[in-house]
Amino acid sequence: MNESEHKKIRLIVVGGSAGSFRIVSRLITGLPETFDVPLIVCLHRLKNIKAGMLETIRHITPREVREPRDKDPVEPGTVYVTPSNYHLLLEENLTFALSTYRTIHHSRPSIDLTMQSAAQVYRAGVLGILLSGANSDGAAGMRTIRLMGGSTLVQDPVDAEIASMPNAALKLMQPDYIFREEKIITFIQNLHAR
Amino acid sequence: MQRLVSQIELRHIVQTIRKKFGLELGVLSQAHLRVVLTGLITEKGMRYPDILVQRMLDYPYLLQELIYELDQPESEMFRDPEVWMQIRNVVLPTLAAWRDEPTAWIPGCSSGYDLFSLAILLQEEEPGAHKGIKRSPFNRSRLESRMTIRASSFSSERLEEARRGILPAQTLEWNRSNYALSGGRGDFDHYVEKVDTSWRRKNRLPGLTSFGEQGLLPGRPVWKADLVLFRNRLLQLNREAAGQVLHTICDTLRPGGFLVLGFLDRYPDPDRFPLKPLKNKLGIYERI
Repeated sequence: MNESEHKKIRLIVVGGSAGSFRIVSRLITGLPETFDVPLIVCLHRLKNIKAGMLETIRHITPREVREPRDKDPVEPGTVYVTPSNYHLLLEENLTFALSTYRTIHHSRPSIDLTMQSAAQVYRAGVLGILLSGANSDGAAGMRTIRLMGGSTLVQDPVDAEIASMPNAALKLMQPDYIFREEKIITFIQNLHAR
Repeated sequence: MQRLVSQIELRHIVQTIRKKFGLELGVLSQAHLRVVLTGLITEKGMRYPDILVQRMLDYPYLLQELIYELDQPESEMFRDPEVWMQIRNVVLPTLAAWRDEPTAWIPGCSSGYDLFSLAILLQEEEPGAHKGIKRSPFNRSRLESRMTIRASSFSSERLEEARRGILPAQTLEWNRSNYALSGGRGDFDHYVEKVDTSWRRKNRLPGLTSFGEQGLLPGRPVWKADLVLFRNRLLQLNREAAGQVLHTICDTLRPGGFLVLGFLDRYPDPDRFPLKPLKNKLGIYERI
């Protein structure tokens, strides 16, 4: 990614399911102190387990980490965790919109919906990252991000704990990057370094 | 689901529907509207949103389908069981102790999942539960026999589902699980029966339940309410419309009455709305 492409990233959406939490944790802890791009973490979650994920992530970083409320503004440098049993969408005025719309690929939150919504609003300013997981949620979202001019990174399936999710994306689209875990971490760190 | 409807396409659809059908979709959250429209377009196998608008002009029943889709019900019964436990253990006993004939309003009741959840709680009310409420001087009959429930929604088809008590089969497991987690005292299956391929509420609703139609935004009723259930409906509205509806609800609620919002609905601004949150931040507010 050249410098101008780095500068255009205004939102990062990380999607994942089974096997992705370790990378997500490392990614967040590795963020430089002055990293000011908002980062949405959209992981499949158990419906009635509301506590745990947010607290765990807060424990590993001094950065602001929160589950957004409906109509909350998107703030720079904040890590947002999609709440359990809601879809997380974006509005044109750069606020969050929560939704209880039916499940997509049996999932709510759906990675597809978050990524597609982010792509519509942020267009070329989105970086979508798709990690390990057991279904095809996120593939269509990554394709939309690419179509809208955003940047896309898929975890290398040979590196993923469960390859179904990255493979589904690769069947549907050609991402800008296919990286293993270590490269994903350094890539995000360097995103800000320039 | 295919790509979401774009901003330009959305604007065109909203303007056309306003002009041709007099329905103001501009009060809705654009993000929510996009998802619903895209879902409908995908389901109908249409490639472009323009086709939906054109078909709606030719076949107005499609507008009813859109209205049906916009009137999304709660995802399941007893959604967020901890909230329903609070309703069971605090809200209803308080109303039972302090109101002769309380009224509950469920605007945007859609297919009736919250209505049915409330009906079950009323059926399971423990005798004398209200006596645990501080300073209650009265010995009252069961709440179920004296609570009026008014349910309204903007899709007549959803209202009909609520009247008939239809429950999608795919929500049954979650309903059972949520019921148990919310303090359910019996067997959830006692309340439902299988009819062909779907499920239906078996028991009658409380005798003082009525249904009525409303607009996209609930209007101010002529009566007052002691309990308003409006869970995850503000999500579907834009900020201005959400504020307007909160004003309507606050004006309808009697002081000491309760408003139950969704778990992650935006906190009502205390400078603008006379609502005090109950502790535990479960989205339950008391009208002050």
